Amino acid sequence: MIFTSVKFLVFITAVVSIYFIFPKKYRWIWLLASSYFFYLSASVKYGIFLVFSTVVTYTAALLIEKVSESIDVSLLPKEQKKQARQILDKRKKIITAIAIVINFGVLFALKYYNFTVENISAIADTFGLKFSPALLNVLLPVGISFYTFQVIGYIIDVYRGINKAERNFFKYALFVSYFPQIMQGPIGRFSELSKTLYTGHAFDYERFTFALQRMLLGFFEKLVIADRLAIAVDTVWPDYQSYGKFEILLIGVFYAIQIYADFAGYMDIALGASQIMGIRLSENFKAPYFSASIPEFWRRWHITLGSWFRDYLFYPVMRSGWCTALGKKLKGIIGKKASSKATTVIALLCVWFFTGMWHGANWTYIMWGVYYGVLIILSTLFAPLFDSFVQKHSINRDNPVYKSLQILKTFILVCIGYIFFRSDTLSQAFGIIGRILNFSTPLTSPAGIGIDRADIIAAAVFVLLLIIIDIFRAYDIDIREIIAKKNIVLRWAIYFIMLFAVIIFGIYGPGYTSSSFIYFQF
Amino acid sequence: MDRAEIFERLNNVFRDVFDDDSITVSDNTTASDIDGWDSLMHITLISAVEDEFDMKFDMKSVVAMKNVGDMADIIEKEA
Repeated sequence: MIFTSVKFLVFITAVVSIYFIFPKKYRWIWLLASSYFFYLSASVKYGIFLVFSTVVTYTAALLIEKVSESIDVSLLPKEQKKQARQILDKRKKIITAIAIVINFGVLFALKYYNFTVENISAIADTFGLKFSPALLNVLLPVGISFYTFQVIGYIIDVYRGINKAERNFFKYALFVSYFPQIMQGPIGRFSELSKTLYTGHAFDYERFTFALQRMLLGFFEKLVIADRLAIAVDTVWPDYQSYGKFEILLIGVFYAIQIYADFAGYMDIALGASQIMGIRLSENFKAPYFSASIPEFWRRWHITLGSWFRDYLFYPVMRSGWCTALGKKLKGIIGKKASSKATTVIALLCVWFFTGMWHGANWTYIMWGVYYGVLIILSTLFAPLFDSFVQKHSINRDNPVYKSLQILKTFILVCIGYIFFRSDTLSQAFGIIGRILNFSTPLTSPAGIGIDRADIIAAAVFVLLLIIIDIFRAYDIDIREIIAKKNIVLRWAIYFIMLFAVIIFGIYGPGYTSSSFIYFQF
Repeated sequence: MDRAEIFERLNNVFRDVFDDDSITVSDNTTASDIDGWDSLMHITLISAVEDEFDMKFDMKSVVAMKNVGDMADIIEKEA
């Protein structure tokens, strides 16, 4: 059930209406039933994996807590305390590790097994060896990359003592399956989501209108902007050899806007739908294209994935015994500062390799991830050099011109990254880069880009609107509060214009079938 | 060790790590108050504080500490 389908509109209307009729205490049960209906309507088979993941992590979390409570450390004499803590920690670590291995194991088998086997057999082939094991023929359950990360985050948080294990199995099942976030995130944290997920919230008119506005904005971003630009992107990208430099560069920018409007649009619908019922999901975007640097971009783009990798991979790697030991070893050879940089570089490459891979079993995604890893490593290594340059030439970092140039630089780097992200194969990505750089490529080409002049002008106007909305978002100003203060005529005029813009300018095509969101495939 | 002493020593660590002698931290100082305090610097800072006070932060503290006040609380308890 895709958010932009009529089915979903019927579904959400029914869910919300019945939610507020249900006794407050049991509203979460209704949400659980609705969430499973939502998920299973995609395919009943997928449900098996979801239930399995839920059962494994629910049980593991309880076991971790049971181990913690098996010895009361505070009663022990001081000298035994440390030893007891170590024993307990070791046991908890084993349970956590088993739960992680099982969950990642399922994800690996379904998403990466074929890719790994194909690559190994290709390598074997170059050495003249025959290696051709059977490939798996299963479809990837939707949302598995998202909910697997969510449950692993939960288990690690229980292990770290950040939150307690949920004792009610069905409440925990709701945390894993909650319908606005199961397909594409945001990847939730139990400590945050549980604050609002289980309480029966009273109906609040202002919250209701704010939530609807947010959903409407999401539909606008997806149907009017993303799906319109998608037509041009899908026309030019696979056939890039027929186009000139100008069209290719334009399509690169189109794709950057498309993927943002697509993903952020989804988030606005998800967070809006959840907000109607008073349940707060984590924000996933904060005007990312206004970032002045790549590290900043990643603090504003797909925020819940970035913070997941930070808390559950980057920090543990950096704090791990072997990383500290390596740092100490290198310290004697290359000095303190350089050794700390060296270990950071290793951890970053690891994080960005997996960030790329998370998006899919394809070298294009891995290349895209490593590309960011390298950019961030370079920006870390050269930061002191750059700082002294800025100081020497007394450049004012708050100067709007300087800031704008930084934003432009970041946007261009992000667009280069998308060449790998959007291409089907690495050779296509390098083909596109080659065509842009090649002197003999014509500047323009007579081939059409799939949308006509009127559509391009419409897109430009709508994108401008999106930029204005994002300026407000960048400064943490809620446009809805401003609209709410306007008089009733103006307020409703704005709603109707938005609604009609979605109805009239949305891309529906003949016999409209809702087009899938980009992040569905991950 | 009293809190004033902890903060005095923390100031020195912060000034050294962020290479900025004008830094003075307080209970309410957060990452957004200090230029360059991102996830990379956070780990460097944590290690420097550990060296200074001869103690260790567990992962919960590394991830969950919200401000320098939280950090000082843990130091007070552990060091």
